[in-house]
Amino acid sequence: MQANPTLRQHKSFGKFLMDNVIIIGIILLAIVVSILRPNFLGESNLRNLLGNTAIRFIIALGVSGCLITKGTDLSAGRTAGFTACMAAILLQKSDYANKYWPWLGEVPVIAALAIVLGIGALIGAVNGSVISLFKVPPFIATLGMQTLVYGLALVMTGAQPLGSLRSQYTGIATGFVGNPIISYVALIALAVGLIMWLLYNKMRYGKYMYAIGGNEAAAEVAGVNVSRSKILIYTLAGILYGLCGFLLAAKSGGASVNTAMGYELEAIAGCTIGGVSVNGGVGRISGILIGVLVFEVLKIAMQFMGLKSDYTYIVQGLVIIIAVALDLRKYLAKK
Amino acid sequence: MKRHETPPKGFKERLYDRVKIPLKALDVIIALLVIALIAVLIIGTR
Repeated sequence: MQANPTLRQHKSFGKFLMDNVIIIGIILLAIVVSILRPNFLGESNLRNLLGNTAIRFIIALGVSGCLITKGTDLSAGRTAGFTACMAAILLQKSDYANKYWPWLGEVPVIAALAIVLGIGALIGAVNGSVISLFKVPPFIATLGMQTLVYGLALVMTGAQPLGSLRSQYTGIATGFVGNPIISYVALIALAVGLIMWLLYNKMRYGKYMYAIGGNEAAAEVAGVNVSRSKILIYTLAGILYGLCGFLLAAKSGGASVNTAMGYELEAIAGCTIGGVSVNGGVGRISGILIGVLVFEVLKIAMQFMGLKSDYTYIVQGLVIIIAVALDLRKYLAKK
Repeated sequence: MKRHETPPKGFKERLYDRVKIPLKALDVIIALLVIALIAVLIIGTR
């Protein structure tokens, strides 16, 4: 006997609503806020929204690989913070009286970028090696790395804020192409997103990653070098955190040990809202972008609604808890 | 060669498997969370 097509349509519509309830809710919120506060769709706000989303999208892309393989990376924010401090130290103005390393000459921007990406890669490679070779749970391994990197940043900077960066460097964040809304940072994030899409969907890297997330033992039996793949995934994630730190310091015009504080949790929240399953094996680049964008829209909408800053954390926390509860509901309903 | 009869479960799957509450109760909890969210938005914007 065939099911009633109307009933089936009704059910699939219900499933669509259930799968995207947070995204739909925040789109509705954005519509309401833009009606009440027309500035919400103003050029400067859109530019700010796009810039913030771009940086968080890059870090979320790194975290997504870890989540898809049933892991996590709690060191993401601190790695970005550490690399932001390193980039700021390397790219301070040479005539600045309080230059942190006065003996350092003028480092080319590209060399500084290579150094911070290298640092990110090293941190990621250590994470990946500890997780895959010593079988340490990712939560614990990356929590240890988070604390270690934070300590390193404190020692390296003496907990001092670093500013007075060269205009060549800050120009990466302030520059734009054509329309001021489309900043270089947004274009860099778009390019990174495209590269990651190719890696996830068209290359062996992605196939192995999804296979490991779906069923690690089966992937190993099928010939996937799980340890090597995990090390690669965490190393690439580290490179992305390095890039995020580099762009963040340029955007803020400085850095401190608290730069990118809590970004790993925002990235995990963005990925979860965007449909990356914490059960592993599932997650798309477009979903990650939407998840991060939704989270940023939520934050900016709250500011525009005049929500007191103390309350914003409660709202963000509730949204994350609701997202996890919905994820759990989906899992239980499937069972 | 070692055979895997059932796919090994991840940390979150094992965690979720331990949840024994009925789906309806979870729906009520989600609804309460949404109400709390709306309440915070109203109180916070006053």
